[in-house]
This record gives sequence, C-alpha cells and structure tokens, in this order.
Amino acid sequence: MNETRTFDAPGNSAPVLSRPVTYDDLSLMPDDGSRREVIGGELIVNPAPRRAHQEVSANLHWMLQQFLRASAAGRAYAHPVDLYIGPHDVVQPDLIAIRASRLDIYHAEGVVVEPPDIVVEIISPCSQRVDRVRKMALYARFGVPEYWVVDPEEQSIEVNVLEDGSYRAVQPEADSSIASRQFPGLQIDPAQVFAGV
Amino acid sequence: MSVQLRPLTYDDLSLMPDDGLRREIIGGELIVTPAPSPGHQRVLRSLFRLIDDHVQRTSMGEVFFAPVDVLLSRFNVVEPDLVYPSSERGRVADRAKGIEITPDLVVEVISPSSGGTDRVRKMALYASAGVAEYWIADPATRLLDLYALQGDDYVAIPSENDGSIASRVLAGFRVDPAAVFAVLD
Repeated sequence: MNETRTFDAPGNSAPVLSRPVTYDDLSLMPDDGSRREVIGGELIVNPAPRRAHQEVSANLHWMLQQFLRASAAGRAYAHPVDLYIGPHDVVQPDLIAIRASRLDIYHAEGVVVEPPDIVVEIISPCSQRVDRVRKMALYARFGVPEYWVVDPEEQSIEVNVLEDGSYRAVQPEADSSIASRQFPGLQIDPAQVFAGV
Repeated sequence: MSVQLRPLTYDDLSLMPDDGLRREIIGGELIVTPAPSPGHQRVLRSLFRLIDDHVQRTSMGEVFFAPVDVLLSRFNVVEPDLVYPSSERGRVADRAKGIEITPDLVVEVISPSSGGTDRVRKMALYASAGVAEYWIADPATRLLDLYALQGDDYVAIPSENDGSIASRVLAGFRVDPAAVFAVLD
C-alpha cells in the first residue's frame, strides 16, 4: 500500500506557493532594494544589478533621453517604473520610452498601464531566461511594438519588432548602429552604449 | 554562441519527441513533467467518472482527459488533466490540433513536482484566459478545491454542510471530496 502512495511524501519538492501573487501583494512587500516583479502570478525577485548593467543602463538612458528631448518625440524612463500588464503580470523594465502623445499612460502613482513604445531589458546571466522567454512572451501579448534586449557581456543590442503577435529581430544597420522603427531618426551606436564596461 | 532563447509556441511543441513526458508552454516557457504516479491516476479516474457521468446524463458537452493540448494563446499551450468545454462552445473537431476554445472548466490533479505550477502559474493563466472554474485536487493532502472566476481572480467555492462542493459551471453537480479520494485507501 505504501508504494502506491509514495507521491504523498513532500520529499524534495520546492516550497509551494498557494496562490498567484497580485499587484496588491507587491505593494505590501518591503522596499529592500530588490527588484520584485510578478509574471504569471509568480514572484520574481532580482538582487541589485552588477555595475556593468548600471553603466549600460545609464549610457542608454542618456542617449535615448537626449534624442527624445531634442526632437520632442517623447521621454525615456529608467527603472523603477511599474508596468501593469494584468493583475498577475507586473514588471519593472530597465528602460522604457513613450512617445509624447501618449505620456499619460504613465500615471502619477508610478504605474504605466499601456504598452510603452519601446521596452529595454539589460540582461544578466541570472535574468536571461526570464528576459528572453517569459518577458518576451509577455511583452508580445501586451503589444509592446519594440523590445530591445541588451547584453553587456556580449556587448550586443537586439532590437525586436512585434509582427503578428511575435517578435522578429531586426538586423543592425551597415555601420552596426541600431535604429528604432518607433522613433524614426533614433540611431544608437553600440560602442557608446558599452563605453566604460 | 549557445542556442538562442526565445518564447516557444505550439509549433515548437509539435517537433518534440513523443516520449511520454507532458510538455506544456506557459508564458513561452517549456514546462516538462514526468508521467504521473498511480495515485495521481486513481484520483484522476475518480474525478473523470463523476464529471463525465454528469455531463453525459445532462448532455452538457464532453470531458477530455490528458493528453490533449489546450491552445489558450500563442505562448500558452497546456495539457490539463481534465478539460470541459461546454456544448455551447460547439464540438471540438476530431482532427483539431487540440482544444482551441476557452474551456469552461479545467481540473488539475497535483503531483509533488507540479504543485507550484498548478497553484500559481496555471491558476494565473486560467484566470487571464477566462476559464470560469478551476479545480485542484491534491492526493497528498486529500483536498479538493473548486475555484470560480470572479473578475480577474479565482475565489474558492465554500463547501456545503455535508462536505460536498457545488460546481457553478456544472449546474446541479456536487462533488464530495471524500468520495473522490476514497480510491486511495
């Protein structure tokens, strides 16, 4: 009889959450500097990023901001900004860009409630699976038209464009610069993004 | 360079080997579960008999058991233990890839390895897909929970005085958890 019940043993199973986490749960959690996101009801906690991540984030934020302000095309915002996709999907991208006519999707309380025009994630070895798989699927479902994946280790910037519900990677320009479809004229030189890394 | 990570779709699943493992895609991520234990299958059989009997008698549709793919969206393809699309949703074609409509009821019997997925990721997925009722049976604790979708979230349906629980999707159907888990004795 015991044999048929071996599945009863808690054994080595991971601690089991009893229900999906929601945005309301997030607001009750301590502000300890960790990045907390909810994807598919699951809590994803990331420690403070490495320095290379921060250098790249600062460089790219500055470059985006410079273009968007000079052209009055929109604004760029750096983490932490809550992106509310649904009650069980709330993420904090590294960078977002919103065109000028849609700035009101970023609410005063600090939450963006509709797809930004560009979402940028700067990956680290531990976040790679989430950024390239679960977040990519999530951003596609939400309808984020452009998703940039920046890899400080490989020193690569991948621009993914949403087409028919999936992302397609766009090849860099001949001079290896990165161009945005969402903001015509926006060109990014990867060498500048990875300067200091 | 390693293999490019990307969200998977149903098309990727169809290229994978048929090795008896359950392969699902949740949020673009591949979730692989080993074949279930005999105890899991006993509880599943017990639930199937009860639900199927009621659905047949009332001609309210049909119940499918795993493995059958439920294609909820491009990056979400799951193989629930039991799936019930009501007859109002039309007949599922014999040669269809799987069930491509939102089911009215999904039942998952928990395994030690799937508990977190069933109670968190799948629950969030079924809620966002609009599955009206979600049952979770746990052979380890002998608990059967019925959740009804209210707005964005599932709310547990309280049990009656006699311990049975009344389904809201299956009109007139009450399930007695003790009867479901009696097969384990």
